[in-house]
This record gives sequence, structure tokens and C-alpha cells, in this order.
Amino acid sequence: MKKWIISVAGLIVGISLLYVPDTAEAGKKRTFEEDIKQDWAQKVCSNPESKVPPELLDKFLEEQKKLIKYPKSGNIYGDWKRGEKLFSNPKKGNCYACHCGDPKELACGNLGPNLKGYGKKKKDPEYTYRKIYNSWAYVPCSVMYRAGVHGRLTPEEIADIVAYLHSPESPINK
Amino acid sequence: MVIRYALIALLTSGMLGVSFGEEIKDPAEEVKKQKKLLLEVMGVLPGDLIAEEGKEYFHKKGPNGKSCASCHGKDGKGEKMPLVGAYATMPKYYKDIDKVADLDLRIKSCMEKYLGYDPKKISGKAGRKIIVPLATYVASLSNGMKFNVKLDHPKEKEMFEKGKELWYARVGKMDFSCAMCHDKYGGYRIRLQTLAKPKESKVMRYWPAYRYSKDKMWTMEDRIRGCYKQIKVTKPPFYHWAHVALQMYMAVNSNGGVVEVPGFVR
Repeated sequence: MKKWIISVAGLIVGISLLYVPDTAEAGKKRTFEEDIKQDWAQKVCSNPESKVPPELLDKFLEEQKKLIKYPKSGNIYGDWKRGEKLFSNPKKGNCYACHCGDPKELACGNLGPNLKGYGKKKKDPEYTYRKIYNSWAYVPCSVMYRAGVHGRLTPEEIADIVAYLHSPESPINK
Repeated sequence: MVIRYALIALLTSGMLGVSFGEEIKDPAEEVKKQKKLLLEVMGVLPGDLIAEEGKEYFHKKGPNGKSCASCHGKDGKGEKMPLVGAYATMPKYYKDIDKVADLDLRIKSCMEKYLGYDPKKISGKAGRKIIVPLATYVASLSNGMKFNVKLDHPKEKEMFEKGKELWYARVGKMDFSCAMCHDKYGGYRIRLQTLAKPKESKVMRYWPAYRYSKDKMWTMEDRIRGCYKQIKVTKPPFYHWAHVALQMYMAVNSNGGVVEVPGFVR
């Protein structure tokens, strides 16, 4: 009996040791002032027209393209089933907040275009990957957040969403 | 209490109806429907009850024996410093605190400076319980009057400029600004939530507002904090300059709008 208790206790301690808190979360609390600090591109986009001045456009696009990174494996076409979950997870991709297209997701928003049948119309998964990673490399100052740039999605996760959007098996294209 | 739970159940079932199945409803119609429903069930709107509560606080003595009414008169209608019409000119520069203040900050400052409240005790949630109803009541004293915020004092101009800057600033991990959702894409939906058009609706005229989806009274500070939370930016603390700045920008854009407080919103 005693042994049993000790081993359970040991297991609990072991599991708790495995849990290493996220360094960003662990330290001090972030402040509003820190969070409203802007990068160069955000500053450029902060105008009533939400447009990049023409003289800065080339530099803007070039810089944004430079920020795009690929998965270590080089594979930008992941698992559509994982992608499906990321698409509808408010804490991850949260894509459905603005895009309809998943037939199961009725609470979808309409800020962005409906993605139903996306893979039938668009045939270039790499473009999709790059657009999700950094929308501003294609549509400067777009309302679509730069998922990869901000690390909200990892390259691998973006690859999963690419598969979700392009795969003929995916509900998006059914 | 029972009525309150029945109400929440009713509202919740109403909202579930929106979430599952049925097509998306016209948001303005939905607000009207919920308002009617509440009136039928309760006989009174919750926002009006909160304004009443605020009226009680207005006449209640603070730790040093003074009440709001001691300076502003009964029902805020004193000969000196009346509050009728005051909200329609806010945010505003106040000499006694040497600050531009919105409703929340002005009320909190008065409580500390003239009613003897301990700043530590009212800076958090306990303070909100008094300040929100007071803000609702004080704002309602301007009902029927037109919003008329002027930028006469240099600090008011400065606040307006800061607010305008914040309004358009793309910030945080979602790259949002107030303007993206509420100017450019106002009227579109994020999930099922239709984005408000605060400039068009002259938003300051109907805040503080009762939010039926949360069964809570919110001042504009609560609303602004909610927005920042949603775009994943750390919320500015209550009474922070960002609240005053953004409200100054929205108030100038609300000029001409007729005050109708408490508002009733989703």
C-alpha cells in the first residue's frame, strides 16, 4: 500500500517537473505600453487609409517577404485533419472568426472571403503558405494578421492549414 | 434573484438559438427583441436599475461625511457645479486634478479628493461597484442633450491627438487597430458578432450601456478593455490615459448626438 502511494506521489512530482512554463508567460506581466509598441510595418500601416505610401511600397513588400520562414522538413503541405482543428480553434488559427468555408462551423465571420471550395480554385499551396505566414507580403496592411511573423502559428501548423485548404479530402473542398 | 436567473436562462436560450442553426439575424432587430423581452420579464430595464443604484450612491455619504450631492446638489441639480449636461462635454480638462478626465476617472478623483475614499480601496473591483453605477447615473443627467465636446485646453487637444493616434495604431500579435474593425470593416462580422460603427452611431451618446449578452453594465472603459483583450493586447488598467484619449477621439466624433443613457447593447 505504502509503495503504491509513494509511486503515485513520485509520478505526480515527475509530471510536474516535466511542466516547464512558457518563459514569456512565466516572468513579469506584460503591460499595455509594451504591447502597443509597433514594428516598422505596423507604424507604416497606421493611417486612416491603412495603406503603405507608394514610395515605401517596394521596401515594405521586400521586408515582409524576408520574414517568411519554412518548416525544417521543407514540407509546406501538412495534415489536413490537424489543419481543420487549427482553423477553428480560437486560441490558435482562429481563421473561422473571419472566414466561412468549413461546413461544420456556423458561427463563422465574414470579414474575410468565404473559403468554401478554396482548393478547387487555387492551385498553388506555396502561395497559400506564404499568405498565411505573412499576409502583408501580398496585401500590405491587410486586416488578416501575420500568423507566422508573430509566432501565433508555427511553420508546421501553417502547413497543416495549407493542407486543410487544398486537400480534396478536406470538408472545405467537398 | 429568481427573476434574474429566469432572465439569464431566457437570454442564454435566445443566444443559443443564434449560435446553432438558424440563419444570422439582423443585429439591430435582435437588440430590439432582447430589450422587449427584458421589459416583459422584468417590467424595467436592468440599466435603469443600475442608474437608480448610482443615484443612491450619489446621495450617500463617503468616509468623510460628504456625498456627491454635497457639492453638486440634490440630483446633481445644484446651483453651483450642477451635473446636468456635464457628461455631454466629457472628457474634459479639470483644473483641480490638472488632468483631462473621462467619467470614470472624474468620479474616482472626486471620491478620493472630496469624499475621503482611500485610493487603494477603490482602485480595483470594489471601486468599480460604486463607480459604474455612479457613472451611469451622472451620464443619464445629460439625457436629451446634444454631445458637445470642445478642445479648448491644450491638454484636451493633446488627448484628442493621442486618441486619434491610438485609434489608427496597428498593434499587437493580431495587427489590429480600432479603425480596422470599426471604420473599415464596421458592420461585418467576427464570428457572430457584428462590428459596431462607433463614429456613425455617435457612440459616446449611449454609453455607459447595459450589455444583455453579459448581463452587465459597462462604461466605455470596460468596453475599451474588452476590445484590447480581444486583439490580444494587454488591457490598459482602469483610469489609464489611453481610455481618456480614445474617448476624447470618439467624443469629438459623437458631437451632435443626443445623449441616451443607459444604452442597451449586445
